[in-house]
Order: sequence, then structure tokens, then C-alpha cells
Amino acid sequence: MAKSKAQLEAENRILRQSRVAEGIISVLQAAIRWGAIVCITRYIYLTISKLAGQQTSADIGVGFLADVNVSVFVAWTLGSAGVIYGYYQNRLRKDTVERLQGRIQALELKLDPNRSSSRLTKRGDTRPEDQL
Amino acid sequence: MNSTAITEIASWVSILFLVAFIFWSYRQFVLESFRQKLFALRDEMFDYAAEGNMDFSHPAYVVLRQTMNGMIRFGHRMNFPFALSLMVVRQNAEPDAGTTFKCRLDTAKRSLPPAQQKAVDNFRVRMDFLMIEYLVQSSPIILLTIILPAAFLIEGKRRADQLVHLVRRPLDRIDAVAYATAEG
Repeated sequence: MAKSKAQLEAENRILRQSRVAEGIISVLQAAIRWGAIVCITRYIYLTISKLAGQQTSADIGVGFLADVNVSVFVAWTLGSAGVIYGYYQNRLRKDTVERLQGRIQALELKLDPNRSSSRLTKRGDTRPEDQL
Repeated sequence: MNSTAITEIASWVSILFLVAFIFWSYRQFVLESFRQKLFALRDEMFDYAAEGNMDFSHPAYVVLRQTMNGMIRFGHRMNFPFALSLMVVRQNAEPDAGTTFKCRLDTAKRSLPPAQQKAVDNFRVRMDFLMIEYLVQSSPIILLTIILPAAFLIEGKRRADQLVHLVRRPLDRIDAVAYATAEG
């Protein structure tokens, strides 16, 4: 579809503005995400350092295992199982997307030769070059 | 054995996993769910055109499809803070007379019969609703206040028209960005 000069200029302007907004937000988001990780890691370090000199790593490990009761064990097992299950379900879904997308595209192109695409990867992921 | 310290370490490790889940896994899930819903809507529009209701080359169809493609492709860059900052950045910008997304779509659908114009409006409202739903669900800050998303999901879907109308201007900007970026 042909675009007028004014439309192209407006698009150019809005794209530049959106890139500015994205830049600011991505910096803030990275600061929040990694700030949280660093903060928690620091607290773990401080807690471990409290034990320094009192116990060896082996003591801490044995102590941790001795401290784990049945309900904690069940909770961690269920959590881990959920993560593994989610991972394989996700992989299965992406396998299906990869298997079907070519057929869908070919069939739709017969009806609409100018069919436009979202340009995701064949597995439905963000293209590496589209990452910020 | 210092049992309190052990419990403290285990708690912090659990919180670490929780933070990783909220900021990475959950967000990825919401993004893929959003893309999936948009694919379904795009397919529905394709079927609508394939049934002979609209030409595949009609500007209204092309504009809407390209906007959906832009949202699917660049959904990972769109989030609640992005929408807010876009509003702030755009507030002082000069008005784009006749070049806003709304103007473009309105011009494009003018040549369509009323029934098809209504269908185009319906597709646009649903597309914008999916964007609002995604913006709300993908924000960890809002996620933490569970009540709002819950109320949104229950009431929002029933009142999609009014909701989209309320936030028409910022949505118009997001639509314009999605439409423009799809070509990049």
C-alpha cells in the first residue's frame, strides 16, 4: 500500500519516539531485574558469612538436609516437577508450531499471494535481530 | 547447627527462584499467550476475507493485518511502562494531522459497505483489547496487585468496547507503532 510523504514522516517520527521510550524503559527494567537478583544474592552471602568460622560447607549441607522435613521435600519436588513439565510442554508446542507453520503459510498464500507475515522464527520465537 | 540460618538461606533461594519466575518465565508465557491470541484473531480475519466478505488487498484489511503482525513481532518490546512512556514522549509532539492510525484506518475502510466497516471495527476493538490485556498481565507490579487483573479479566471482557473507547488515544499510538514497525 503506497504511503504519502506525510504518512512516512509521521511513521518515522513515531518510530523514533518509541525507540526513545524503549531505551529508557529497558534500562529501568534491567536495573530492577538485576538489582533484585544482586540484592537477594547479597542477603544469601551475608547469611552464609554469618556461619563462617562456625561451620564447614559440609556442616551446612548436612544441616540443611537434616532441616528438611517431609512437607518441604514434597513442595520442592512438586515445584521442580512443575518446571520440568512446563519446559517439555513448551517444547512440544513449539515443535507443533514448527511442523504446521509451513503448510499453513503455503495454503494461505494460494488464497492471498500478497499475504504478510509476523516474521517470527519457524518455532514462533522472537527473531534474534528483533531483540532490543 | 544454626537452624535459623539454614532456613534463612533456603528462604532467600526460594525468593530468588520466584523473582526469576516473575521477571522471565511468567513474562515469556504472557508474551506467547498474547501472540497466540493475536494469531487466532488474524486467522479469523483471514477466514472472513476468504469467505468473500472483503478483498485481501483492501487497504483496511492490509492495515489491520500489518498492525497485528507488528504486535506479534514486537510484542516483547511492549509493556505497561512502555505504553506510559510513549504517552509522555508523545504528549509534547506536534499533532500528526491525518496521519494517525485512526485516520488511516478510517480512510481505508471508507470504501467498505457498512456491515464490513462494522466487522473491521470489531476486529480492531478485539485487537486493542488483547493489547490492553497483555499490558496489564505482563507487568509484575500490577501482577503483584492481583485484584486489578482479576477484576479486569472478569469485567473487561464483558465490556471490551467501552474499555477500548476509554483508552482510545494511547491505543492509537501503540497501533501506529505496531503498524509502522511491521515493515522494518
